[in-house]
Amino acid sequence: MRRYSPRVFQVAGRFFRQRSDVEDAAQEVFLRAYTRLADYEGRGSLEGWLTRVATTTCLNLLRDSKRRPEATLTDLPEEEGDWLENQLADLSIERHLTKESSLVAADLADRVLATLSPDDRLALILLDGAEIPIREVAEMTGWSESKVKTQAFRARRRMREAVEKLLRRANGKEK
Amino acid sequence: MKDDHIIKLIEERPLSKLSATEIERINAHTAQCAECLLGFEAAIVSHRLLKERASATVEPSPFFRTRVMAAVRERGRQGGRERSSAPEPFGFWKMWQAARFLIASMAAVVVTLTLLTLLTGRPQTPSGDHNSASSSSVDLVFEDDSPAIDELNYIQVFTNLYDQEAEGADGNQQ
Repeated sequence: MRRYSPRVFQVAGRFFRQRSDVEDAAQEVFLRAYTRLADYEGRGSLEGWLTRVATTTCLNLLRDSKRRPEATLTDLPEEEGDWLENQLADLSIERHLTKESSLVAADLADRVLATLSPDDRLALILLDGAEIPIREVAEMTGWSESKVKTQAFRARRRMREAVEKLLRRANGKEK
Repeated sequence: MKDDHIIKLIEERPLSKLSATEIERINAHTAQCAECLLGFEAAIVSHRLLKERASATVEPSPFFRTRVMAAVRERGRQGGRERSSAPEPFGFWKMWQAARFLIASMAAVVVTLTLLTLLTGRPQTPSGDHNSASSSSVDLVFEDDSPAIDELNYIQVFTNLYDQEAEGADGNQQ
């Protein structure tokens, strides 16, 4: 368990932000792996199999939590509003952020992602956030490569539209 | 022109995968199109948000291993209880295992009896039997006719009685 905990926490951390949620998800992953160890046929690496178990388990947990009323983007905390305004000053795609700024960004990201479906969220975090190749995402999720592409395409549009609203609000353009 | 809009381009792939030529094309277009500029800004902000979100890590607490091992033991106990309390599923194979000797011996007895019947139990019929059978059938046919005879007698008796009464009546009248 010590050997694979970092990997499981990495996967769970992409789905959940709060430490308690991440630990609960990681525990569920290990429990599921324990009960399904017979399914591991020894073809690939154990870490790869465990990554897939972790991904599907976390996705199911996220789907269960999303049965609650849909989250909406209400008024942002001041630091997140400031962060958004600062982003528009520099439109280079890659930009180094300070540690404090990174934390604000991660919180804001979580707030925006909470408005999307679990599948959209998964596709965006893995493909665009962690920059994992499509083939690997397909292996992790059990989806086909074409489904990964389609899901990511739609998810980018939904996330862009959500951020556009925030930007309009930050710029005071929204009426 | 609508075809020159870059929205589809920025939705097809992650922004970090766009080539320098594509970035130039986007910049050239957004300089003239406010709608696409907002979309591009939103795509850049989304990209930064996702990068930061994906890089955020959570370290396991020192008690995590103990907690998981306790949960695994508890799950194992629950599984054992469920297995011991669950009724045995019905299965043809299990039933066959239990009763195969009985079924096999019964089948052997039936086969033996059938063979014995075929070999030794065939009925012996003498040659004159056909005639006797025919005569008995005739008897049966005649026996069936006996009520007709009785009926005839009854009619004759009835006729005689009628005739006697008729003669009596005539005598009285005379």
